[in-house]
Amino acid sequence: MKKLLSLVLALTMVLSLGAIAFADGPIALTVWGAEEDQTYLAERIEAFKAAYPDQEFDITLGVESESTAKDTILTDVEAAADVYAFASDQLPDLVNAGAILDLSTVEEALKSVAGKSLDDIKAANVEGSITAATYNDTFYAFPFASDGFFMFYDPDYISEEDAQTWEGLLDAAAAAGKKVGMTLASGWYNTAFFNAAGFSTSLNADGTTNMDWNGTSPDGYTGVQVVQAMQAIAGHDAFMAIADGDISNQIAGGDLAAVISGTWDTALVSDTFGEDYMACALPLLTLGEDQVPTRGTVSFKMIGVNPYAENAGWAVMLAEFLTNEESQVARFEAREIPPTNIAASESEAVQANKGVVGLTEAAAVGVVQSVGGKYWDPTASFGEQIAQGTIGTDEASIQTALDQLVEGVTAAVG
Amino acid sequence: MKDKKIGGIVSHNLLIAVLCVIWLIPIVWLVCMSFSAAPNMNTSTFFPTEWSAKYYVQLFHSDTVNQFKAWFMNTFKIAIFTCIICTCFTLMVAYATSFGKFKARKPLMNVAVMLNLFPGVLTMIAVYFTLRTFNLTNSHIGLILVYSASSGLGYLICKGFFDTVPRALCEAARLDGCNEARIFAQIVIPTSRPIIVYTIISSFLTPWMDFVFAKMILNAGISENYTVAVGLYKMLDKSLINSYFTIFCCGGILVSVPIAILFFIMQKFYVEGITAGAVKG
Repeated sequence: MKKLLSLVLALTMVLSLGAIAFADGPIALTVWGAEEDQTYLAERIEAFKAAYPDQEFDITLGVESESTAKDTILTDVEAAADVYAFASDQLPDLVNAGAILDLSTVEEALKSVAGKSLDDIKAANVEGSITAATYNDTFYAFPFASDGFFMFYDPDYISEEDAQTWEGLLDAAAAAGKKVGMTLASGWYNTAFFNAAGFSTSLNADGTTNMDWNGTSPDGYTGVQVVQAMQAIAGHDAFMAIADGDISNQIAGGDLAAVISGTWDTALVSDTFGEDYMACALPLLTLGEDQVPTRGTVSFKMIGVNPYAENAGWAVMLAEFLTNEESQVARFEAREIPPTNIAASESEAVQANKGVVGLTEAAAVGVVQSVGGKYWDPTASFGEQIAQGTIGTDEASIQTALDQLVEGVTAAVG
Repeated sequence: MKDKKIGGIVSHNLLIAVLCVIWLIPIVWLVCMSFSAAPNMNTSTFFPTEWSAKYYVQLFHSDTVNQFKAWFMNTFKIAIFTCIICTCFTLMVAYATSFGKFKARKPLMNVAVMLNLFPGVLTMIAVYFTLRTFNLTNSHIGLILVYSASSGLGYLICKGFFDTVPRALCEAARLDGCNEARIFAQIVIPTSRPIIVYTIISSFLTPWMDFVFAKMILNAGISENYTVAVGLYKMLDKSLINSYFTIFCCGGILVSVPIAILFFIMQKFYVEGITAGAVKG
């Protein structure tokens, strides 16, 4: 009932803005972006004002990290910013709470002022990002960057060939007296091994998660096989299981020859591994007699519009402007974040950036995660159990642990 | 016999020394980390490999992320007002419950104590929406209200102290024609210094240590409006921690400065209050 009410409210609000009115006074808009993006965003907002000289704006820029945007917005949607950046895995919750505007309701306005249809925007960005911005066949947000994890390694200790497989990587690190670091106690990271076997998760309309990791995957591998492969990696002398959030600290510690992390650690890795550091997709995983790519999680950062925005029409213009090709190029120059805009990512600077190359390689085999709120805790503790070695290596105990995991993740919400 | 005594003293002190070390390690670590020459976190060694005070300097040079000066002033402002309001409220409620003679005294006291037993965080959502109705979210006045509104309920310790103030003094004053306000201000307050000091310090500390309410009420994302706790916390985001961890530690050290100063000033009165005594002979 509440959901229906918020939907009706949102609808009545957006119906009134078929076209954009040029107002006499200044149009007030609020924008939320990540802390590290503040300088860049302030510049782009000035550029936005310059692009529409006929209209006066009063734009307030606030701080809200993409990774926590949903939590803050859902606390009080009406008080949240008109235009906000968020990570793609938050989309279902934002939609269900009526906190994000269906872009098709403002397409006419977008066409008449910015001269772009939604199809133009969909065509300009990589397909994965558009899929991630779509929920229940409705397009909700403008993607601007891809995000995910990949592998950094130090070529002083690890050759390109060693980095191809987990065994080669770990043996090379052991020979050099170094470690290979990865976070196992997080469902964002450890799903990579299950994805490798062809397992997947999906989200139901009621917020519950589907998971079949205790069975057999469409590719014919069992969950038990995956766990055995994970145990072989976690049990290797050269493997270091890193607590979630402690990766930067461990990189700086200097014991690592390779680490699974993301673009946020690029500068630190360059300092520690040296400027000749390498970035690539995760190594191949051995399942039975086959070697399959370890498929990491891919997510996207995007900008959405609050349906409660007073000037929703202009809010959409601003959201589109902050994610267009020019803005994405400027963002890459400021932050070295891989763009989703196809034209922007073809530039030489982007192609030459090692972090981007690593992420692109990982994303090529990566999986866009689709999970509900019950997913995170059981997968985190499952990963921790593997890291600690508390699950027995025999098939029966692994099967029991997997059954428990699936039971926890697929539990009803509420 | 004597040996046994010495042995006891040694073992007691040894135990205290061990407890001290355990208690001080995190603080020593924080101080050391704040003098690190590297901006990021690195726990592979306890002490930083290179020392420098440059991040203390950088802490006071605001950028888009670090606006410590503004945060510090905000928190200070909020703390001063909260401190004044809280202290007045608490003392007045304590006076009324200790000296007043009215029918509802007992029931009121019981209700107040019961209300005070509920953890304040439970009221979070109600507080937020009430403030929003009055357009007080994202304002420091709203925060001051939240911190000081229920302070009167914390009267119990203060009342206990007031109960020890000799009634003879007050009765003598009353006989001389002194009214309640003057008894409160000129007799009870001067004889109750230690408890006033306690009230001032604890109410000044509330805004410095609170994170939950500040985070919830200052939700417009305007960094320069943050309090120290919220601002410093934001530095620990995974994309910022590599460049801001040492600055975060410096900020953590510096928030304790005003509290320490206040404590040093108040300590004098605290000891005086305890030793002075109200009725001679």
